[in-house]
Amino acid sequence: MLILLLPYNTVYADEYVDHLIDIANHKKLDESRAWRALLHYKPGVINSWVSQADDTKFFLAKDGNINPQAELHATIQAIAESLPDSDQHSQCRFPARYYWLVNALKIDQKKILPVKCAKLDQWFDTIKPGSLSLIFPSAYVNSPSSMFGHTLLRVTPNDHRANAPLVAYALNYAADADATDNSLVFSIKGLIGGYPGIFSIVPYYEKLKEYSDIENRDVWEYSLNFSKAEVDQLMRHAWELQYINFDYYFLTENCSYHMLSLMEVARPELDLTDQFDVKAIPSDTVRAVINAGLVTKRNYRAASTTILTQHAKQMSANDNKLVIDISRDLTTVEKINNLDKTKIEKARIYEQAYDYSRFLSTSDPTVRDARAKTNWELLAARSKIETDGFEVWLPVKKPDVRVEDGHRTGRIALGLGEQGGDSYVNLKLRPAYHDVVDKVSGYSRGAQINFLDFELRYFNEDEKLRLQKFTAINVLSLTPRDRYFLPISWGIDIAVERQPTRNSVTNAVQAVVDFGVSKDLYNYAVISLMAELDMKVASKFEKGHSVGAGAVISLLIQESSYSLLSSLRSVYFELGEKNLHQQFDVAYGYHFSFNDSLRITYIRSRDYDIYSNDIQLTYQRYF
Amino acid sequence: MKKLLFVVLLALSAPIAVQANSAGCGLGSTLFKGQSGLGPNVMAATTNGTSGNQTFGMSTGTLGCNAGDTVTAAVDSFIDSNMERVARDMSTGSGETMETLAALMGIQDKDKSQFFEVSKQNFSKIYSRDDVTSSEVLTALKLVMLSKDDLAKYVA
Repeated sequence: MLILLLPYNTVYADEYVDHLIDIANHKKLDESRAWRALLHYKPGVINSWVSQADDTKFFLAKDGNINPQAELHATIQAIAESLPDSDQHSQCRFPARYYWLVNALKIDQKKILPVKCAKLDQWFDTIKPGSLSLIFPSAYVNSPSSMFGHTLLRVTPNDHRANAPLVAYALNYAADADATDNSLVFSIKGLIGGYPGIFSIVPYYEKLKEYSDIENRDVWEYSLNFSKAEVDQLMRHAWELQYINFDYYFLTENCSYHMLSLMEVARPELDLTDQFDVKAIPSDTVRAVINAGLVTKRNYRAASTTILTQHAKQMSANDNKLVIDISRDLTTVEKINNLDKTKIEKARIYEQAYDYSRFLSTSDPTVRDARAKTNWELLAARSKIETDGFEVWLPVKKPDVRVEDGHRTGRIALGLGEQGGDSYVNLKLRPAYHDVVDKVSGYSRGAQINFLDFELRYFNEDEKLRLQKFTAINVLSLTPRDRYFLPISWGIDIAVERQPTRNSVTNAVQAVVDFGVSKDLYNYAVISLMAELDMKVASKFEKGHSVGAGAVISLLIQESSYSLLSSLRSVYFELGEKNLHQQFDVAYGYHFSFNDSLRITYIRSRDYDIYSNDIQLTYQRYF
Repeated sequence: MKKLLFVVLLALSAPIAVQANSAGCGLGSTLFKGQSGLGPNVMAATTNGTSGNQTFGMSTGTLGCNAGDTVTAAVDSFIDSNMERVARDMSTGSGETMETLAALMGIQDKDKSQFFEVSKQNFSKIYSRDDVTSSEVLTALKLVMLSKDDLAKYVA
């Protein structure tokens, strides 16, 4: 009788599976947004669809990565397999697909029995996913590249831990970079997809330690309006993605891009990733999420350095000096305790000294060990102060402008100018990111990254459109030093620029490097003094090159409605073609909206004993 | 010069995020001793991510412990991974870390301010030395809580 039953069940099951596949075909499920989101299919160049997953483990069909329909059929067959309960069963390996198919095909779960997935269930039970937030650690002071930022998702549990956001979970997409790769290899591999990218989950407080403490970045948290059902589906999909490789591309399929791809699984009607074919800059992805109506609440978490700076302003110069003295062992906690100061003043000194010491320690572990005793004394002394309900500090101030409200990352500029008496029309196009004369609101002060900036110039007289300058990369960081922080100001510019030679004009490839110091002037301007190294290559130079060193002094003002950068430089080109290059320039930007500016630039330069002037009025639009 | 070159090239490193060194499990850490591999994290300070060959995955990293589903394990793990932050907040009797600790211990709202006040007053007993370990902190904290009627009930 058993012998009669077994084949009967298998035959029946096969018929049912075929029936399900028929329904799937009829409903064109392989063409649905949900299926494409689950398998990360995007239109291909050679094939109609290609999955962004670069891992054979992710597919059940042999050509699953380029064949949505085959993958759908293979998935239906796999979830229907009558194998014993195991975490390796396709229902357990691909629970998001399984869940979606059960609903889309109205699968009779008496005919295809649900499998018990012990590990998956335990995982869900530990996390108890309730709600999602998009987390955006923004820029790190003195590291313009960090202006690009990063995004991750926070999954908040649905139990008593909902009131303790630190113990939520951070869902993150990251590159598995080889720690031994040097920085050049790192940059190149990152750009071309040379690193595998993996999804993973860690306690949220670990991520915060990394970003707001160790990396000193402000963190913005955006609560998202996904329902419990949507969150569950996203988590099932996260389970599907564990250990699956998606090649990591810095500019496109990066951390921020994949947060969007996860959201599209939770709610397939969302159209987020298609907006980021060419470049996926984290702040732009945050804007896309906000524009899609997903954000309910925002929360701001200041970085350790932000808090230190704000707190320093609430203390007297003398008390700040005491804080620095403690960090240099020029005074002790006991001595401060004996000073005639109010309880609040002492509490501030102890807290600020401790926080400053931690800041110094995070970048230098040996400092940490040396400071251990004093740090402990500071906390012990602080614990003995009763503040009688008075707040020791004023509440942390948020930035006036949110990151997402800053100007958009692409910029096009049209200008009219005159160079050496000849009038011209100028066109500039920059895909990313921000310069110091752009409106600073929502961006880091004194920080600049220009990436792939094209400048074309058309002189009215000779009626020729020429490349004026192509900037591969230009980075600048003018961060003032103060008693607490002693950053180095620096800059780099790698470009091809049209410029005079002794006897002619040429397009020279050049690399310029600056480093020096900056100081704040009355909280209004930043003055900088930097040494400069300038290297140019062009066949029209004598000996094919021109290399020099010099100095530049500059003044930067960044107000919300206008910005000004003025500099004076002198560079002695001594190697190859000799030249004394001197230049005075002013760039003034007037920002009449977040995404429109007017800029006036004036450059007076001296090369090969010839002076020339260049003045231009430009309209800039950010998109 | 090498640092400058490094710093130059990372200008090209757009949003790279490399997997972090995730929290350990158990009660092994010591106050003020480095936990999360600060060496790699210095690189992090400029490369917009951290480096390290850590276990990637979904089931590891939940509270840092595989057995992270009991309340006690969660408290242990949290203190272990946040020794400095807990100390910092405990010394002031306030702060998000202390709020989190209270939430993990299941302390009700009406008992929270007493919890903060009592732990602050007994800071030097709980964080007794500059190299105190997390298990010592936990034991001391529990002892202090046991000595107060309203807080004793939260100690398992």
